[in-house]
Amino acid sequence: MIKFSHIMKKYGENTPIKDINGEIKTGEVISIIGPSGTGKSTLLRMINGLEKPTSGKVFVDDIEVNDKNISEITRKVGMVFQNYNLFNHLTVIENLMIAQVEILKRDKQTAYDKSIKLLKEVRLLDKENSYPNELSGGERQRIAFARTLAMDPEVLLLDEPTAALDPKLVDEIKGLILKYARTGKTVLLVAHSMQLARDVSTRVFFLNEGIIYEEGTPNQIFDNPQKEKTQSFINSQNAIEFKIDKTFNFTNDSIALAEFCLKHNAYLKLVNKALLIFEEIIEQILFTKYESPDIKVRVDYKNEFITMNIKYKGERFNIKDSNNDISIKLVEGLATNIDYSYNENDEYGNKVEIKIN
Amino acid sequence: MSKKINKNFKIAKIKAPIKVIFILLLLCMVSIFACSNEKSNSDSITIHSMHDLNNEKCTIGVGTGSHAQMIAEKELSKAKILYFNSESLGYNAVREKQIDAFVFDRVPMQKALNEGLKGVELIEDNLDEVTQVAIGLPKKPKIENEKDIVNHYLKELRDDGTLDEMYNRWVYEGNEEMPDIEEAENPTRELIVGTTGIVPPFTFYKGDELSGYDIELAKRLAKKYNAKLTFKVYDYEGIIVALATNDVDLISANLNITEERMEAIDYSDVLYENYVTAMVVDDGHYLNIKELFSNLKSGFQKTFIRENRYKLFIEGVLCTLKITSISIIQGTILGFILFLICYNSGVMVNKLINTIFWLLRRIPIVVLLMVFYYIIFSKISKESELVAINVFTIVFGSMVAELLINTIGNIDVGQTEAAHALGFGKQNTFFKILLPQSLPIMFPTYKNMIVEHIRSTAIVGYIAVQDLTKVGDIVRSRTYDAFFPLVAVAIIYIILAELIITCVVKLSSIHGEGKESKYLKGVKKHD
Repeated sequence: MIKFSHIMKKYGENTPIKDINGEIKTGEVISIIGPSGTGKSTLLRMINGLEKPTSGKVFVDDIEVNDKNISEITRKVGMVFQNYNLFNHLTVIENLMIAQVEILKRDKQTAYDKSIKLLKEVRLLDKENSYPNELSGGERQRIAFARTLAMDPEVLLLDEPTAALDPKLVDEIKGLILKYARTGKTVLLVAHSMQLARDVSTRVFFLNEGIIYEEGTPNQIFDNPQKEKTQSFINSQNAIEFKIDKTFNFTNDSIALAEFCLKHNAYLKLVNKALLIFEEIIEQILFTKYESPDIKVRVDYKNEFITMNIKYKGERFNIKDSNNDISIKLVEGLATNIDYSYNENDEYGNKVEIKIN
Repeated sequence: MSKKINKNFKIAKIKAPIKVIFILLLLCMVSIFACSNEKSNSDSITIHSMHDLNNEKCTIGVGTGSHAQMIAEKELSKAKILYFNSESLGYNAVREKQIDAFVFDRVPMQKALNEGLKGVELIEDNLDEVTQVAIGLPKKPKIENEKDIVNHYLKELRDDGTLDEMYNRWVYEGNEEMPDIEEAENPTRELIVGTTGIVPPFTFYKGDELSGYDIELAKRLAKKYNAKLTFKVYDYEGIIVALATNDVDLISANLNITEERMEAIDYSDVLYENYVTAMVVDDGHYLNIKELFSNLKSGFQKTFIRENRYKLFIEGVLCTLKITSISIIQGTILGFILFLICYNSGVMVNKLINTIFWLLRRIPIVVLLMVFYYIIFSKISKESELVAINVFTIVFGSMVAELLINTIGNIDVGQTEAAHALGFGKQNTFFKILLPQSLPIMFPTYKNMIVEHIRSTAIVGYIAVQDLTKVGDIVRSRTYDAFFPLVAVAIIYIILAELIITCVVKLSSIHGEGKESKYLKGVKKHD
């Protein structure tokens, strides 16, 4: 369906994309992941001609993407933008209808019926006559989705479809993508959320150093990455680490922790739990126990579980033995599971593993 | 949509009755101001002779480009000199004590007093230098031996006493009736005569017809040489250039001979001599509040009714209306075309067009007008109204194009990208997405541009177009009353602007808001 052949893109001195090759078959759902600045969005935008490669060619259904074929290409390829780009001067229903009428030359009634059907699907029928600036971010995203689907594209391009959406809406968008993919259509998405990539895609491209550095099924890439840079990227995406001593600034670290959880679309309730546990254990228990505490914390989020690994120096001490009854009760109440172990050979001998759900 | 733009400001629309009341209020204030000339000027100097004017404390006025200006600069070098575009403004300045004296030719000033100009008097003596008046001729005439022909005929007229008779009749007797001089029946040539129309009794408007000594002379000349006569009316600033560029065949307009002018143009033999004197305020005469209302009444009578001058105003209004409306329509179309060229072209074309805009926006329109009239269009067309329309079309067009570029350039690029992704081509994106979004943003600015544009057309008098402002000048030169014609012109401009804006708003609302959406029209709705 889509073929990249020796794609290179230069921006002045920068060459974010050096040589990308690859083929995507009909019906595949591809997630493109990678560190920022590696040209993920650029690659996506090359498929419908919004960006032109400096050299190399992109093919959709064996048709080369260029100025001459662009109308044929845009008919096959639909795109949902990160910031939605709804037409501000038109109502929701008009946004859905305009391209059907103007481009596909559908008659107005057909276009209207189709739009209403899609509005029902995204559960925004009551917003039919609203203007985009009267909608919330999530509503706009769903309208943008509907507008693109109204054109019956064979390929759907999604540029960070869940950025800045709250977890409930992420599930809804996820559902829309999967529903569309089930009809046998091809989807390409740039994902910042690894959870989304894992949940919807059949194949994952990891972009780095200007090439498709590693590709594979979500399981291969996320659970068993082969190459070193993929591993470190996946690890950095899945976990956040803190090193805590006397100079520790609780506010900054809490914010970092919250941001990490939210980026992975963890529910707010879960994030709150994690923050409370973090505060109780570090500040109330360990900081009162040790005179000069030295603690390492690693937090990761997988399958709707936040796992908190806390290791600390000093004499053997199980937090459950703390004389701070209120704090430990609170932690025990919030956490799903708490494990303590001690390893004499490790510098940071005490180890607590907490699972939060 | 347009209502949303102003949501950050508390701007309410001004209703029509309030506008009218406001204008009337302003009118009253101006009129009281205009008539309350009892300014106490304790250290004002008394002036008995021209010699008294050569004084550092003295402020005198002269007509720009008049010969009196040059003589005054020479003989009254100590005085501070102010320059006026028309004599009638100078007379008013004297009356209002803005200047101590207005220095000009004796005959037209005497005429003004005879016509009933109040509150001023003439000094009895004259400046030493005498000005000689002649017909202005081009250095390279289109008519062969023009100078010989004119001089020959002038000699004929002088010899049979006609010239003296004319001077007597127009200047001393104050007769304003133009004698019947037949037009050439089968004209064999064309004679275009430049004049100013604002210096009675030499060249002035009697009703909506040109009249005066110089006009009669030109008519006789045309009859004699079997030529079809056309008059073109210029400001003093423009008339010499018009002759030098062969825009007219001769100037008949109480034209003084000066050395500087001789470098650019030629002269016929001397017609008569003018003495330069000064008009000063007559301290014995003050206006009181009772006189104010009778003045207003007579001002209206003089400005509009006498000699059917309203006809002149109607012509002026039609002229201004024609120039503005055609240039607005053409300019808007031109602006769109220029914008579309920029929109569809590469960097080079854009740079070129932007450079032209840059140039157009920095040159004063009056200069632009002259450049186009005397240089660029001089080979193509001398139809001054047409040139004015073209220049204002270009100016307005460039403004419209810039407005489009700035507004559409500021629309989020995401809109264009989304349109592209849905399959809209470049033209479709512009007409279906970008333009509908920018119209409500542009419209208020566009309305302001139109008002600004109407005002800026007031300068077309420079190239012999008789628009509303020029008509105001002409009438002022006859009534010697600055106040009433000026206020009348101001009010007519306000009405014109409102009229054109109303038309534009009506036109836009036919196409715009309040109508059912284009895409939903005729669609059977569910629910």
